[in-house]
Amino acid sequence: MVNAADSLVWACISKNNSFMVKRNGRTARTGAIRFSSEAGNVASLSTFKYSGLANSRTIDVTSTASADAKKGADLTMLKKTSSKAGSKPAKATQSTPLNKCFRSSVSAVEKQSARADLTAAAKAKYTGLANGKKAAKGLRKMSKVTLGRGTQ
Amino acid sequence: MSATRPLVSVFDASGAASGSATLPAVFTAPLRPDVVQFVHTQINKNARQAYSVNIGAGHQTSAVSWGTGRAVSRIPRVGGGGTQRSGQAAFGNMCRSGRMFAPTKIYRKWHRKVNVSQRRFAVASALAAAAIPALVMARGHVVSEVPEVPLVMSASATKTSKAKELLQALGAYADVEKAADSKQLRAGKGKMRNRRYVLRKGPLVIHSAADKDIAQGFRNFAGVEVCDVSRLNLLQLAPGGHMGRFCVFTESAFAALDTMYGANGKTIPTAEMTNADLTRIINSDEIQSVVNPMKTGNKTYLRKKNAITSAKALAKLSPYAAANRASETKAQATRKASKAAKKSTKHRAAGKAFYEKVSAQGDVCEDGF
Repeated sequence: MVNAADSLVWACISKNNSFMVKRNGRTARTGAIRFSSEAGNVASLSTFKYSGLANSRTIDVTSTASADAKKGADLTMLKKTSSKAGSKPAKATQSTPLNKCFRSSVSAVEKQSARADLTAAAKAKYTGLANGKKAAKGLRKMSKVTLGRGTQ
Repeated sequence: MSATRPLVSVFDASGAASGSATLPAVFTAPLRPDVVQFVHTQINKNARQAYSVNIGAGHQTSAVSWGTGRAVSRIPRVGGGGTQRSGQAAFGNMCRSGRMFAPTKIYRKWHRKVNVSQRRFAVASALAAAAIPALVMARGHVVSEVPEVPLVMSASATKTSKAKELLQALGAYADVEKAADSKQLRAGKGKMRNRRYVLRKGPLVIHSAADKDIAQGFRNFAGVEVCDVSRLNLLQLAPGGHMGRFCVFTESAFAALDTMYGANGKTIPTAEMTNADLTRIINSDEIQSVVNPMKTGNKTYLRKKNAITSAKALAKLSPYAAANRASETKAQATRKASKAAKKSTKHRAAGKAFYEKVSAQGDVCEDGF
């Protein structure tokens, strides 16, 4: 297939796409923020850096897809590498079950990351999801959420 | 156009790649969302039906203004007497039973003429976008299980049940299901105007005249549209003006594209930029060899310290500050010690003795006073 450049694809989809979620005000001053809900977007933000659509290489951590549930994994690492991303959607992403202990899962994320600039965000997402899963099972207390000023 | 064009797999009824086809040149057309959107908004107006209010509405009375001096506004008023209507204001858009402001006319400019070259440009661009998975996904199509985009099939299906199996084998049925599940009541008055439901668009099946029977198999799925390759329509290729419709081509339709655009057909528009890969341009040797060196971020300054009051700040200014301070401390200690030595016990004892002597209480008349 004709491979479209990542930056060109982003130029086509940055203004509007099916996954964009706009919240709050209309301008940055009134708190406008654009999220994005596609798979492969590790920060769920609608920016070129994090976009799971425009980038031919991404890394993401998600709650388990059914295929990996059999392996006892709560969480899955999704990875998109450039060779197939251009034309073969079915083969574009590889998923790895993160069914080991916390430390080895984090190191798996670190080692297999195709994008150095996303590694920290992927690790952070894994940590948050893993802690959430533990709390859901009653193995861990959730850390207290500090609310903003004026709330109780 | 590029000298070597890639091969695209052709899939059979079982979903296995049974052959390959050369990618038609039209898929190298530039991606121009602006052109697609403009042409779409224009030609989308071409199916409109004229409407207007009745030409005489609000004017079917012989009202005249009463002029000034009658303590009522100068709006035309219905003449005569004997009915409630007489004396009421008429004609104006602010009046009850008056005409509307700028009454709509059936001779409005309902349709738009779009240059044929622009229309061809938009169709070529929309086709090129349909061959890029990222743009197809960004339109909202579910193509994560599709083996290849653009999707070309050698199989045919004239029965809906067979067509369903075919779409399932190709991984394209998820998008049909998504469209079917999205069916919901339309918002607004369209519900009562024979447009009761709305639903998302599913795949567009593109066939050629040779296999037009395929339409019978595919036409009944929710959201699926069937189109002849010689009658490609931007409204179908880029619904809503957003390019990247999920297209399923039959083998003959795919081959026919090469006779329609490119060397054997209509000219494909040329791209404004030879290389649209911005990252690659920025990181190229040509650019990197001439750009200024990277500017480091703003320097953060510490709060200024007064060297008179802060020993640390003084130490930075004078290399001897610490030594001076140490010697001064030592001198102070010496001074203190010598002072203390002066006030030794010897002096204190002498003083004490003198005090004792002078303050002794003796006999006042002892020496003859």
